Amino acid sequence: AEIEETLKRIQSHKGVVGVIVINSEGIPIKSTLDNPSTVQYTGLISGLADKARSVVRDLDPTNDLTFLRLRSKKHEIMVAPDKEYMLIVVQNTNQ
Amino acid sequence: MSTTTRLFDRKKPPRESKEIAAKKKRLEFLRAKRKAKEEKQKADEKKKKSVKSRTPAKPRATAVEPTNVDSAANAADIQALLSSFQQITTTSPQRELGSISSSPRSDLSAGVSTPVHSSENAGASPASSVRPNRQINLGVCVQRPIDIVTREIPRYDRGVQTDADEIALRNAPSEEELQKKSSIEESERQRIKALEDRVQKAESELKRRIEEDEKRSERKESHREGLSSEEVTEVMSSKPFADFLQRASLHVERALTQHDVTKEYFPEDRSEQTDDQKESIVHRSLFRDKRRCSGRSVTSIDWSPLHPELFLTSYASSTDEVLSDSPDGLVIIWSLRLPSRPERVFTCQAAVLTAQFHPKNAHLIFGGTFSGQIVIWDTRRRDTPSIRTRFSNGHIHPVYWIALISSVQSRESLITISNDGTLCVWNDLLLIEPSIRIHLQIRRKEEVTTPAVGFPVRDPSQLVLGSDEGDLYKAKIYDEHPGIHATSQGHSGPITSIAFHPASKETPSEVANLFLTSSYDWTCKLRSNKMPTAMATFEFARAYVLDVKWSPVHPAVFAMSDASGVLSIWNLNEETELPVLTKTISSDKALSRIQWSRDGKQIAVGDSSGSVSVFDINQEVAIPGPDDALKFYHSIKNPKIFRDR
Repeated sequence: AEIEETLKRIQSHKGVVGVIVINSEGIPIKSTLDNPSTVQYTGLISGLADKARSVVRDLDPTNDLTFLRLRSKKHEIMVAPDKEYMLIVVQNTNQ
Repeated sequence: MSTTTRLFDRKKPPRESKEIAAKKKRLEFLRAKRKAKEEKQKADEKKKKSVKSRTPAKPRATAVEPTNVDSAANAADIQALLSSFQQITTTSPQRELGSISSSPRSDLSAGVSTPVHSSENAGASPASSVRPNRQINLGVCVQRPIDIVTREIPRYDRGVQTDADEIALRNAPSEEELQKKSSIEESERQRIKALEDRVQKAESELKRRIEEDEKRSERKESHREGLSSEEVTEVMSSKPFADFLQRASLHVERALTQHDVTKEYFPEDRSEQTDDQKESIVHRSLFRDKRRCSGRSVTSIDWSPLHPELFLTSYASSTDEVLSDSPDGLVIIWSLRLPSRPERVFTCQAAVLTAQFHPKNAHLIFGGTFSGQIVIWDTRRRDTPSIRTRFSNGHIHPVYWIALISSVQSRESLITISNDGTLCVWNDLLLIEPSIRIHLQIRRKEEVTTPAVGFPVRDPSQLVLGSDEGDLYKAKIYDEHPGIHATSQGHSGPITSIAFHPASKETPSEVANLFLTSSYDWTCKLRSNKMPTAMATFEFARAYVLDVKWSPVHPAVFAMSDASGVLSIWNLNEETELPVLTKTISSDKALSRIQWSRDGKQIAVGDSSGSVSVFDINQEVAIPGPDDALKFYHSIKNPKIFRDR
């Protein structure tokens, strides 16, 4: 119940377009977007997050990626990676 | 035991040895006999030759050789021996004997043949007359069984043998050619090895790539398939997922609320900002957790000494509905950056009436509860208290006031006062046993109910307590007669809060002894610890004054909150009758607690519905100028500036 509430709260935040939770294999566990968008975001963003993590670790092997924010003209994508799961939130930038 | 030792070094079993000994005896006996026989034979041959020449030999029995003279006597013996021998030897001794005709022992055979014949002869015609001339030599034959090893007939696999050999023989190359061939073969082998290695590497690479592709395709497929709904619910109800989501959502929510770093301000916006700044009490954010603290009045607010953006709030027990599953005691740490969601939630069994951070160790939170227990939370650990006092030696009445004092010897002690007038001093932070326990009583021996307590910063042993009847009591802790020693008329109603001036080292003692009291009688009074009567009275509020707090940075500024939802900021350097700033925060909720931030620029206001609002105070008001302090000190020294009422 607390999980649902947390996700609802994030979803109801101002400007948030969608919330996706994926596991380590890139399979979406929960998503508030429609299926094709979810698949698209998941595939692209998990690859980007992996690449970002490898960059961080190559620069310093003791380091690790904790948060990734991608800002564009229209949206901001926030990625919170973890060992087993990843939380992706997409927000409109024009408020 | 004797038998076992015997077994190891045993000789042949007696039975066998007996037989063999018997055999040997017979053999020797027979050999001796034979020798004698041979000699006699030789002698007899000579005689026989002479005899043969005399008489025509019978054709038949010529083969028969001369027998022994004492044949009759020996025949019986020998027959017995022979029969016994026949018994011992194999079943067909006669045949074997016959076949061993070519054996080297010609004497034997000769000796063998004779007894056969002789026995036959003897058996056939026992009464037959043995010609005196004919001497039948009976010889004893020694039967010796001989194992005839079958001769191995070597067989050749003709096909294989002949072909390979023949071809090899035909194509036998010379030595030079051989050497060349070997070298060529070597190089060939090396090349082949290299090629094989490369092939293996390529194969493994291929395999790996195939696996990766397969994995990717699996992923893609599974993307299309997705997880089944059961799997999804299973994952979502798992603990690691809950922990992950708690962490990740906190980061994301913080990020969501951060203001736009790339936003561009237009000039019109800037003018709006200046307008905003004119309003001196600016609402910054509202902190409320609907689920947990709706309907629960805020009982205390404290800012973290370590992280300026964190503050804790404690809540009274819920009045709206009885939430059976949520515990009564609730302390929430909020972050200024994330108003919609608590940073940390701490709970305990009884309602928390007062809570504060440890001034030095920011990870410890002290709380006084409605049940009388003093609890300590360790923020690095779990959400329930790690230390609790016991009812046996602690308080059993609600504890409305706790204070942490670090004494000169750098020992920390905790002073707690409960509603029945019990004062305890705890010397160690394990809260096992109070070192001092005083029952505060007035001379009338009535219990002192003290929701409001204060002490001068420099002298923590002198306490000033405000009672529910409006009286002020002065008490001493470390004294010959600890307890209340002076009373004075304070207010005409219950005193809600006492705030001593936050004096630093430079402030003169007159200022350091100042304290403000707020009460239900709609007034707030400025008093000095040294003087029995009030210095000034501030009658601005239109309702119960619930809290009053000095500004930590500006010596002349204090804030006051009342039950009608009005927050007022006073500056005693500017105006002593009226506040310099006021703001009606809410129309229907009482502002139960206020607390300045440690930098004095913000003020957190908690109300009776469980929400906390943080306001920015105009810096002109909040931050002291260079001479504000001196001005205030001067004015305090000459209290006639304050019109006393």
